[in-house]
Amino acid sequence: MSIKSKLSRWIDRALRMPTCEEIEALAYDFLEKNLDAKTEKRMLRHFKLCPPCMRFIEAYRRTRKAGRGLPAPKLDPAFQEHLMRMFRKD
Amino acid sequence: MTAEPEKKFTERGNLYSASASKTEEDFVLGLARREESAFRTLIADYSQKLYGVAYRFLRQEEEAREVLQEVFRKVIEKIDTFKGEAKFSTWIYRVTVNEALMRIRSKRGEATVSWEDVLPRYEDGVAVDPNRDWTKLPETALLESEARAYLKECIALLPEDYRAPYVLKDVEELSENEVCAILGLDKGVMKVRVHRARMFLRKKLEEKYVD
Repeated sequence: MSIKSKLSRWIDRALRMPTCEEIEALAYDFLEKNLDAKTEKRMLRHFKLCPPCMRFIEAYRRTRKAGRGLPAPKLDPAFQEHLMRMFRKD
Repeated sequence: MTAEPEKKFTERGNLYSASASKTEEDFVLGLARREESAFRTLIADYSQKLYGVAYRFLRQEEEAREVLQEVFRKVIEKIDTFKGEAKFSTWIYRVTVNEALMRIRSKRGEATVSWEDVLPRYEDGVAVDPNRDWTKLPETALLESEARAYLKECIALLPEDYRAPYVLKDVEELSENEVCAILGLDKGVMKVRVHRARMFLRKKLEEKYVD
């Protein structure tokens, strides 16, 4: 393979935007900030040109945020004392 | 033997630990030696957290308390077998998750989700379904109590293989490595399951809250 075609292939790969399907596959790592800068940049470029994917990632982000720290009921201090008694009995 | 300093319950229902600076090794050794101070620290540091995890799996306070009691009983009985290959927190989370899952499996049928209905469809890599616009929904709307109650109901609909990593990763906000260690999952598998759980919940929230 000539240097020119190698270079051309490299440029193709470097400039290629991910498809919508690839955007979904990368969404987890995008939100967790696991992606390298180049991939992240490609995703951002895709979002600018693709409103459905922009809407998708916004919905995905809000879904993740909604789950964070969902409250659970507080444990009764009397039950903590019960656990302590269980230990003493053992 | 000197008396242990008295520890008090805080308003949040946790025990206040006056001496939480012990290293993990000392702490585990204390549990193995049946030191009351170590057990008090265990209760202070883990009872509320583990109760929360058990509750999110089971959605019943009584059952979650039973799980917690069983976990603490196992800690008392099996602390001698803890070799320190994993962090103590990973170990005790694993015991809790296993106990909660065991109860789900014995009492309830396995939840199923039709992933075809949840995951977007593509043709030549392009999304077929237009996504709804969530930006019209106020950012805080999903953080209100009614939405959160609905979200909890939806989490309960997830199959346990998806619910467990989702709860630990997104609700408990544990790191990817911690979730993998607790559930014994490969990182790739964990990511796919959390992603699918989010996609399911996204669809559920969208159906209810987004025009």
